[in-house]
Amino acid sequence: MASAANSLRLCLRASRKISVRPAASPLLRRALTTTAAQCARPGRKKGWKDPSDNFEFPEPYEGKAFNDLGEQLRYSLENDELNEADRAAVQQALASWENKPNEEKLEEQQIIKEIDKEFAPLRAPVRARHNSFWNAEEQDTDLITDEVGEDDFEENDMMAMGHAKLEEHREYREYARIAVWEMPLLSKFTKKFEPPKENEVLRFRYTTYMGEFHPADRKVVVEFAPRDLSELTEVQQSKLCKLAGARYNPEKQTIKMSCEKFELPAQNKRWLGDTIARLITAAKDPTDTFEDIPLDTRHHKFKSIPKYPKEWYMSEQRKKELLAQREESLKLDMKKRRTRELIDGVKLIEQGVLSSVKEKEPVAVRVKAR
Amino acid sequence: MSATNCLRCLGRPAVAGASRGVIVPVFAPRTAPFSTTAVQNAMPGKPQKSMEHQDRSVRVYRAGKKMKIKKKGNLDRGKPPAPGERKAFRKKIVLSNDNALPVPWVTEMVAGSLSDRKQVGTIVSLPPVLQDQLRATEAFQPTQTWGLFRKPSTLIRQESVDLIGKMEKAVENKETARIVLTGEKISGKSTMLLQAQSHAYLNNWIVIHFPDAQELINGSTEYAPIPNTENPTLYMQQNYCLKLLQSIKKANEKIFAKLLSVSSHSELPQNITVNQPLLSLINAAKEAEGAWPVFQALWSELNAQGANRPPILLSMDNLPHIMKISEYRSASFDKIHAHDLALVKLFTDALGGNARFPSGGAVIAATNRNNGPRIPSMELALKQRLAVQNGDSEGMPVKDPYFKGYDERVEKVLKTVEVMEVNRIGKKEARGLMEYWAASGLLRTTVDEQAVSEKWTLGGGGVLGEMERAALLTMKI
Amino acid sequence: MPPRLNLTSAFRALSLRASTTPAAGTSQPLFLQQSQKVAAPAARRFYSGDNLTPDSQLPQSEQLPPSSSSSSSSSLSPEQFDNAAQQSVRQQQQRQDNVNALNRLEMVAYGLNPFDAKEEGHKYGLPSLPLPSELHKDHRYDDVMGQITRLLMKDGKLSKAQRDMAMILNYLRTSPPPKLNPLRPLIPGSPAPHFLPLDPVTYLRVAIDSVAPLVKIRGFRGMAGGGRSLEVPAPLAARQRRRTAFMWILDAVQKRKSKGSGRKMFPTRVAEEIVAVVEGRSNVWEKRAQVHKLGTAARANLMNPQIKNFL
Repeated sequence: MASAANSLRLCLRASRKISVRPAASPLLRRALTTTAAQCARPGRKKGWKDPSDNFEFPEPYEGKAFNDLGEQLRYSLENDELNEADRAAVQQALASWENKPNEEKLEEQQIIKEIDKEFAPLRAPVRARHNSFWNAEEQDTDLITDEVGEDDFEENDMMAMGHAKLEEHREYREYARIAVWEMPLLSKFTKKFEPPKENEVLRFRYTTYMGEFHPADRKVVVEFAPRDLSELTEVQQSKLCKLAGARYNPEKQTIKMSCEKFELPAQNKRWLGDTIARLITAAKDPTDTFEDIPLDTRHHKFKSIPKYPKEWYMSEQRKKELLAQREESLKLDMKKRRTRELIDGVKLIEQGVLSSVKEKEPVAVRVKAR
Repeated sequence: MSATNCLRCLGRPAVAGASRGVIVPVFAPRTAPFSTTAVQNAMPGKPQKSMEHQDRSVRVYRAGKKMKIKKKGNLDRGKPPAPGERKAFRKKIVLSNDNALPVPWVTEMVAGSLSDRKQVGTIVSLPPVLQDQLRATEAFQPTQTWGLFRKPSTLIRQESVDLIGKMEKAVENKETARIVLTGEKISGKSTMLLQAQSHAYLNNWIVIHFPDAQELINGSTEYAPIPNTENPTLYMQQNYCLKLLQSIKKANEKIFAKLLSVSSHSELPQNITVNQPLLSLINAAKEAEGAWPVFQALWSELNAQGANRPPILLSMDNLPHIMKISEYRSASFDKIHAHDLALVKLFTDALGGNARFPSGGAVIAATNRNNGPRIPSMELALKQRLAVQNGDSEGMPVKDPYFKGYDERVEKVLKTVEVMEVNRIGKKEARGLMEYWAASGLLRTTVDEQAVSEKWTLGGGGVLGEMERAALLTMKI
Repeated sequence: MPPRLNLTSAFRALSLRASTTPAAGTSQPLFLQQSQKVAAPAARRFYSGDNLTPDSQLPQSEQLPPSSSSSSSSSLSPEQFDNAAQQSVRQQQQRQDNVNALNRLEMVAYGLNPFDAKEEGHKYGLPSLPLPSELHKDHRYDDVMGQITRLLMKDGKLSKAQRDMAMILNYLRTSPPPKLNPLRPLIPGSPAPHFLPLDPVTYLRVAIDSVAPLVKIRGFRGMAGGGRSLEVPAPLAARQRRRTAFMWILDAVQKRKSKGSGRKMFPTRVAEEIVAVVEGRSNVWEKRAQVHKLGTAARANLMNPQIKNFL
């Protein structure tokens, strides 16, 4: 008995939407075409198009079946839409066809049939299988290559790995050439370092990715030390540091800020300059000098790098001191040894144990715990 | 059709046996319906002991088939240790080792030994009476190595002479020396306290010692608010107080027998009139209920101006513990600050300079580094005090203005104390110590300069406890 | 006995150069060569210096390696003259070094020590050998102590085991001298009991060595017939014996009841057991006796023909 599950499966199968193209009869196609045949179904209007098709070949021979080439040519001559040049060509072909002997005609027909037969599997319409998984067997038409014999080695070349190695060497050599011939030319662009002048306080950093697009290439960073702003008094400088907040580095005593708001580095730099100018004007503002507020350094973690203590460095004087100490201690040892005051733990233990045996056994006087 | 095997287990069902011609009683009414458990048959022919089990069929069938996990031979032997016995083992203090050799040159400590600058680097032993007194105030600690030597002895260090000198000077001027001992781990801070107490006992001072500040604040003793104290409410710890009174009495019995009271105390359970010995005042505290008033009365008697009172040493170990919020809760379930506990307040007042002893004395507290909490304000205050003492006004550490963990009450207490650092010992002292060890038979080497400097270096450049670890607590003896 | 002298450093002192003249080995001793250098001009050894041959009187160019000699031999520019002068100085130096090295080699050949400490250049002098055990990290502790501490160790915490061991030793130091049981004699040669407390390492050693079993029982499965295993005594090495003994002691410690708490508890229990072993009160003695009895009873099994292949 058909179970409920089985009937459900059948229902689902019936309602599945599959575009199936019926196999057209071979004579409905143009001869020598490798394209899969597309045709209007009989019983449909001529203007009807299958919406799934992207485009259609014109079908001048619709519904006709020809016995031979001559018949086909004659039929095409009957078509009114043919232009003059085509018509002449067709007529010429028809004439040559008719002049041929019969055997040749038969032979030609035979050849066409054979070719059709050969191409039949290629023309076969692609059907989705019922039980395939996501149409897995469908070919990817974009990647069709002739894969036959691609990996065969014909003993007339290096292997692929050899080519790769060669390519690597070429790359090395290219860079070696650059290093030898082109890099020295860079020395033309060298500039002598000039320390920043008194009034050049800000130090900007830009980022370039050598012409490549990068979201960070617009970023501009500026760093300056408030101490260098000689126009500010000390109070104003400290106010500036307090205004800078977490951008102030108390260890290096610099303010560092960056901007990547705008699209161009120049805009960002402009913004930074404006901000610094505003900061300085605010720092100069005498209404509130912020002197009662201590500098906040909670954002900064002070690193303490232990250094070798200065006192530990060996100097000539220290060496002499140490030598003197050692000498003194040796003398002390010698003196104690001479007067037999030097204490030898092992000997003492032996003596002590022996003497304790001679005496009576000591009584345990361990004091009890509380 | 039925299966040959049971569904849930590999046993054969009872029906299968019928084909073999074995007569099987019909079980159908006895098994629980819808049960998937295999039916377990009780031994056939075994007479059922009681008939009342007949109906509770499941129980009967399962009888004798319980899974028993046999415990490995961890049998209980005898009775478990009595309450407090295990702790007593942990806290046991042994002060002598009869196997250790007596050291001939070690003398007994006398009243002036610890203040004698010439005796620095020598070892002195504690006389038996002093041992009992120190034991009463719990000055010995189980982590110290008293139990290795013949007699409990202690090294006179430069720092101990300095400390005793300060105590003596304060007594001369009828002032109170307020000192906090700091230093590295196991550098000898508690032993310095012990030496200070020894000096006090030998010079007939009155000693009140809090052996571990932690006991006061960690919620291990009972507490109650003191009536008529508002803003802040103070709390008394009667049990601890009783214990403290007993230890004070035991340690200072001789002196208290001579001292007479100057005022009458009618509020106590036992009425104390004028000119009664203070010993009877202490004896008034028989139970924990009356301990706090007795302690208060005693404290007021000791501080009575005009009466000829001996100097007082008030000391406490593990100071950082009382510089934080305690584990106790108030009636509104707020945490109580340690300084609101009456006993702690008494000590901190004295340390802060609010109490004046009539004939001078000392308040000494030792910090601890191993088991103590980090109290930022205490550390800062001590550093500041140290900078002031060294005359280093530039290197004075300052408060972090944005740190919230400071405690004003702590700062107030430590504002004027004197800080003494217990440093590492010098090689001369180390030599004296090691000669003592070797002579006691505990160090199997010749004590020459090389051996001394080896142990001195292994001990972190003369940290006394570390030297002990390197020489006495090793596998190479 | 192989000579303690190291030839490599002597060789290192030689400056090696390719020479233009082919090397010719001689069987003559070097000092003879040196004395006969005029008499035997052709005699030259591969590693020998230039001063040994009359070639040293020749111009420098011939002494140089072949590559450089080709350029300098034809005509000398002033620069090359300078170079040659420098080279001559350098070679003079090398020659001197070679003479020293060769002298040393000769001394080596005669079994003398060519290096005195001064010449070797030790900054702090040589240590006296053999090194004391505390200077060697692997032999810092007594061998029994090292083994037993690792048996005490749990979870790889060696430092804790060492601390425990130190506490055990301190317990032994402070406990009264053991009262020996004549029925359970200690290992022969052990010190008198009153010596033990002040030498806790020996105390522990004596305790362990006294109860260490001599044999263990190996069972050969199914060889006794009827599926029973054939018990065969096998001797134990010293380390194995100590290990067995200490594991027995640790088993006994496990069964001991803990009376207190704290980090001293475990070492105290171990130390109490060790005292019990020395005093003959411990059950470990019975274990040992049992193993020995079994070993004695089963010694006939050693003659079992099946066993012979295994032993």
